[in-house]
Amino acid sequence: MSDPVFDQEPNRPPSPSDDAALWADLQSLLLAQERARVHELEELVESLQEEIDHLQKQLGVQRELVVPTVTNSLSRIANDAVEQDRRGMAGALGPIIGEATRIQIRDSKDEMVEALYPIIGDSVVRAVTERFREFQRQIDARIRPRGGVLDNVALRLRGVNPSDVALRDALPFEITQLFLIQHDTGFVLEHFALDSSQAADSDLISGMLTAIRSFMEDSFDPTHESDEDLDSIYHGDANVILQSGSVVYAAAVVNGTEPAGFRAALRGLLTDLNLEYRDDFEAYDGDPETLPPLEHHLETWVEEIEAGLSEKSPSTDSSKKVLTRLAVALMVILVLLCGFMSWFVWRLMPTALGLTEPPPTVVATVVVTATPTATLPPTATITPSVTPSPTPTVTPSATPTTTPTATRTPTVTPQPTGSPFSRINGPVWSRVVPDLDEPPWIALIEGTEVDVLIVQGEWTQIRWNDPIVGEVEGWVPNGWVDLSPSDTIGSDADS
Amino acid sequence: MKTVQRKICLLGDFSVGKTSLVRQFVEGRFDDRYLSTIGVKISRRQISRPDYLLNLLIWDLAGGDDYDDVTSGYLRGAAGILMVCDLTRPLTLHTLRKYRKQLDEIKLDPVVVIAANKVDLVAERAVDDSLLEELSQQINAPYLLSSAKTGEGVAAAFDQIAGLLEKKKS
Repeated sequence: MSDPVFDQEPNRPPSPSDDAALWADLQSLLLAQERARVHELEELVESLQEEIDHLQKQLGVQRELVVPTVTNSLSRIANDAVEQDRRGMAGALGPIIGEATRIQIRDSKDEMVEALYPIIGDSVVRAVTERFREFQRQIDARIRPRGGVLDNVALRLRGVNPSDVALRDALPFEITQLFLIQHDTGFVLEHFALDSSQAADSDLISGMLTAIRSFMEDSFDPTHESDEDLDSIYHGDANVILQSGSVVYAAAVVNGTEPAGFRAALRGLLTDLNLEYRDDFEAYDGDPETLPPLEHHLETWVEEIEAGLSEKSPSTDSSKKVLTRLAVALMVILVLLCGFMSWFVWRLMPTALGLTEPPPTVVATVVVTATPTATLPPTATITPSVTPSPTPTVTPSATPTTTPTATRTPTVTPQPTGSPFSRINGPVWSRVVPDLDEPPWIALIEGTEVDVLIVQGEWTQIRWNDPIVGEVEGWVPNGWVDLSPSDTIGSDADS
Repeated sequence: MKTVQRKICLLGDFSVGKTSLVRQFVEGRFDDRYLSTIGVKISRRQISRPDYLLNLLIWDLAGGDDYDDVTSGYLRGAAGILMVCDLTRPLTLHTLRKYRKQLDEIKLDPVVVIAANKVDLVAERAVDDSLLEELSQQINAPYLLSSAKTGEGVAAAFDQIAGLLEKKKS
């Protein structure tokens, strides 16, 4: 083979076409290997592209087969992750689930309500029921009598024996045992007992309590539709109060009447424990090493409850004392009032009986004062001690018929020359109008200073200062006023 | 030394000797009348294990058709089951199969041991070892012969349960 470069004629200058051919030859010599490699790669790319296209077609066709496989794998991976780090997963998914729930509620409110109703409905019913029970207890605590006399009377009126109530109140409330029990197994997670000897059989008792709860549930709610649980067992003075939580339940053995708010407090204890130790409670299989430190939880709670009760007791006692004192004071006042009224009535009795027949002393007084008007100094009529003395002897002869003549006498001399007032000579009822058929108005006692205003027939109108109502005017029969001409301001006896 | 609690249930047909089986083995404070009233009586047996004390709380469940409905609730949380049959009554073996099915239905997976009771009644025995083997395989539980009267095999049954519990735990 001839070489185009070296085969040229000598002394002839190279033309441009010769250069191009020469360059092409040079390229083919230098890049032949690379070009072959590029060609190979291009073929490889083409074949790969064909393969990819083929696989994509296959994937499209067999999607239904691939998806379950991938789903299963993902599901397994997710399950493993959840098993290995439950808390971590819960923490990671919590916000997402929360947000998703919020959006779902916003977009499909009715569907969400329907879906959640079975759960939330029961919870609401339970909470309302609990609240109503608590409300009932509070009402009971408020209307429970305090043991005073009036309370006892009220109880009697309602047909309740006060001694029964007193007995009930006298029973001290005391938490003798408190169990924290796992729902399914009946294992005691923690036990508090006032008497340490009771702790020995706590596992058997908690087991039986669990069996009884289960028995009640299976017997009365076999379909387990209701969320109700056995909540009390009564045995004489000792009651077992049960409060159920999600994983554990509490059983309090108490003596006496449970105070208002006790169940709510027990519920609060369970809620607190559940929040803190729920996972531990759930995982407990009887090995104490897996239990959280619960040693003093129940004991502390019992102390707090009893401390709360003892704080309330003094105030109750003091209020009882105050009520008792008030009752005693009221009774003393009533007794005094009754005594005074009796005395008053006793004093007025003769007067009241003799009102229709005025005592002759009055007549005598009139007679005495009528005669000496002109001669005797006015002071003579003021001394009442003088006038009664002759009355006993004069009385029989005196008759009411003479009285009008006597009363006329003072009207002749209307000047108030003597003392400015007269006196009532014995206890007497005043009246608003001069009529015995009218009801009595104000009682006047002997010696009361009065101004005589008018004498009208057998009646005298007077004015006096009553210690309660002040200056008043009223009518009394003539015979009850020490009447003298000088005392009389005016008279219409003639009218 | 720590004390570990475990709930063990006794299952078996009426009159196979469950209550008699545990009566001399356990300590308890509840009367047998509980069995006929609420269908269960709980007793306790403490077993010494190499590293700890095992407190077995034994739920003796009343047997028979009348109690089937209430039994499921009592089985919850059971770590071990002692199934008791009567060697003089072959039908009581069938009842154990029924209980095994019930356990599966409520998705309970406790360790199970079969106590073939009344082995002392040799003349009246109506169940041979082959039947017991077959039952053992069917309900996937080992069996042993016991007698509530002589005490034979009673402690061994509970020991076997304890051993299986340890094995399962590990």
